Amino acid sequence: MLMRPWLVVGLALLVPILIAFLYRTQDRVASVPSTLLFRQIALVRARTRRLRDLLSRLAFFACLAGVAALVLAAAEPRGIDDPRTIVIVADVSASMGGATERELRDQVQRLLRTTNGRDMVALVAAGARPRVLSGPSGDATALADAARALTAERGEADLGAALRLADALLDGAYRPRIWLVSDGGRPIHDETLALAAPLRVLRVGADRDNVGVAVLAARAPLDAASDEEREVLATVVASGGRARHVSLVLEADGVELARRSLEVPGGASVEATFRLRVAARELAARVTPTDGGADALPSDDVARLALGAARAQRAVLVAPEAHPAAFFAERALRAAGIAAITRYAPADAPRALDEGAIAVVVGAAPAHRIGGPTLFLDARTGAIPVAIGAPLGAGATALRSIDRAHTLARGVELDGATIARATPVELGPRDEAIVELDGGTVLAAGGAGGDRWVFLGVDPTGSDLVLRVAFPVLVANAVAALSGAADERVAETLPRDESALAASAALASAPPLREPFPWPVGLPFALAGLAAVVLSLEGLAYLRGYAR
Amino acid sequence: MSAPLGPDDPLLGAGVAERLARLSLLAQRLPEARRRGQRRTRRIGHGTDAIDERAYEPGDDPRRIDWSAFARFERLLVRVVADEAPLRLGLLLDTSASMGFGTMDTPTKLTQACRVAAGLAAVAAGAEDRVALTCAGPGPSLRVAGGARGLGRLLGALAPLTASGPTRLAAAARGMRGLLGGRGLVVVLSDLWDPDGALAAADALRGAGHEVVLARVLSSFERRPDGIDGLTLEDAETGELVTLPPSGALERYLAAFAAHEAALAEGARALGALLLPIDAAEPFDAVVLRALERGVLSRRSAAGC
Repeated sequence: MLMRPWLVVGLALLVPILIAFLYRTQDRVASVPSTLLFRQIALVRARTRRLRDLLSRLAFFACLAGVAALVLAAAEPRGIDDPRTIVIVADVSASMGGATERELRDQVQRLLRTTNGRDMVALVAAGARPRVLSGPSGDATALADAARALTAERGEADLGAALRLADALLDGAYRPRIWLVSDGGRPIHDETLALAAPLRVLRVGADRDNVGVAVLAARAPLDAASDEEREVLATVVASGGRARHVSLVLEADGVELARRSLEVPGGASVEATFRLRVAARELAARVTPTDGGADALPSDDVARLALGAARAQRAVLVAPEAHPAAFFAERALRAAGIAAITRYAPADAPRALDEGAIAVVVGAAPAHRIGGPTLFLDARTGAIPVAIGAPLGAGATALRSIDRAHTLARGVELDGATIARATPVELGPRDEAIVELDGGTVLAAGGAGGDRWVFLGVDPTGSDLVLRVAFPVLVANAVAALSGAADERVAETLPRDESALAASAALASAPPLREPFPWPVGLPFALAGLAAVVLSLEGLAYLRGYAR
Repeated sequence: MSAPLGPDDPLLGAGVAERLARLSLLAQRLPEARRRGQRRTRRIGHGTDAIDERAYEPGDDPRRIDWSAFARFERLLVRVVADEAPLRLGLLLDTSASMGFGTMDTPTKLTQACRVAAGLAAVAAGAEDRVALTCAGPGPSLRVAGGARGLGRLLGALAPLTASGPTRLAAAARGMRGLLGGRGLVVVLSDLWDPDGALAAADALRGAGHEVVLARVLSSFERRPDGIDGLTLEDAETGELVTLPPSGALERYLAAFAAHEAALAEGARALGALLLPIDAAEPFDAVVLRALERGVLSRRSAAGC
């Protein structure tokens, strides 16, 4: 790049200078008895010939350097200040919150200031889903605006995906660079090894302490005395290498229910369980350090959990006219607290249920799917979300197993029940089998959200189940399950590693980013300026007679 | 008239010896020189110059009775004459590197200074005066008695001198004070390019009661250095380099030289020293005669001694 043809010609200009110098070194010096009077009229004085020669050589080399710089500048060399294509990857994971968020913004803006006007720069936010915030472009204003808008997210950062995205942006670019600004909270493993562009890492937010709620979950306990009773689990995590003392407060609908003092080992977590026996719509776990230590992330200090809606109050009963099990089903629904029951023939069944309603299909299901949680009782035909097996007769209806831990089986006693005929189901991989006979599963659950379903394949006319206490209990459990009141619920909290501020070994050992020198001008211009200064001084020295 | 001396003719060669002999004869014909040889002192003694007369007293030398006065006044009067002693001539020779400057056609300033010193010594030795030599630079210090033998020793000391090193006139002047053994005449032969040192030396010699002659030996180049525009010049003693302007250097030098000469003359006059300019190309015997004509080595010049 430096060897342009006429650069060589320019360098040839140095030859006459060299010759002139060599000729000058032959400078004739006349010896006189004394320079006492000549000194008064002299242009230049030198204490000794050696000093004079030294000054002369210095002037010569300065002249050479000046001309060389001029020639190089004219050749417009491309070098250290060539335009680069830079992708700044900003880690916006949850651990970058708090003061580190400001530090991140400042650092990115500082990096932007180190680029020159000809660099192409892109800014990538490395969150759970990396995205390009700006560029690649030379629009400093847009980049600065994007940097100022950087905000930590509540999730983890997929740094690997972000680096791959950056690498893709740099595909084919001249002098590509990736600058990663991160707290080192997420491992990048081997992603960097596959990068085509050189990666430099700048750490921010190092050496912080944090405590936070990593997990807040609630579920109905197996031995619950009521539908409102919940077992609450809270996990508190601490960062760093020293144990932290914290206060954990559990609130229900804004009212403090319990307070625990916990000691959390550094870099580890401690679990606390509570038994909630009151109805509540929302739980909150709040953690506060009591040892006077720092708490870097405010976003993980409180975890909120919305509990399930109240048991359904309305039901749609879909059954053929005079189906013998419909009567028992209606009685059981009322026993389960369903106040409003609307009965439909299968052909008239609604396609969608109102909010807070469930459907109970007895006998034959309608041809269309009912949009809403549905309990199927001995339904063999119609739109059923699970495959129906061959009817079971005598010899295949003995009770084989019951999943007593399941909420549907809570309080259901089937020992001694007579089951002469039943219809089994063939379950999908995500469906749950609760009661199995020798011939197959007759009580199963599946689906999620509004598509939940419960299937009971026991033929009411061939069993005494509907006459037993187990039947209304089973229906009540099904109503609760379909209403979602008995679900295990987990609050959305920051990922555990984010709260723990876990440092990636790869990033921790990465060399710190050294900010490039902010060249104010291009290299050719700088060389030309240098040449101008040197040659001007040289010329002045000649005019004043200092250099000969 | 003998053939002119070449720049490289040795001091002990025939050409110089011939001129020294003739110089001694010429010196005796000079009115000032005829009275030289002995010098009158302030002491009353056995000289020839009567300085007073007084009445005869028993024990006085009968040869001092002024018979002419006895014939006129019929009283015995004796002549009071001053005591007479030989002259002490000191030659302070600058042998520094600057004195080695010469050309193909003219002797070096040191050669010229040595020849002039030999000429003065020849005149003095012919009158049985004592001569001392010391060098402001490398060279011997010695004192010789009058006569041909003493002159021979002196010429033997002058012949091998070479110019090198820096000028040390003041130090040499201090050495001369002890070497001369009494008050006398000291001739400083130098280019005087260290005017402060030269005047300090003259002042020291004058302080010791000597009469001082500053004989300034310069080459014609130093008086008028033609063609020096743009030259770089190197000081023969210090190695200092000066680069002259490309034009007008000669005019400016001549002005500086004139100012320097005037300052030197003023300094010499203030010290009561005689300033004797000598050109290196000038015949040395002519220089000596000119010096004698200006009273150097005469009774008048030694009147203050």
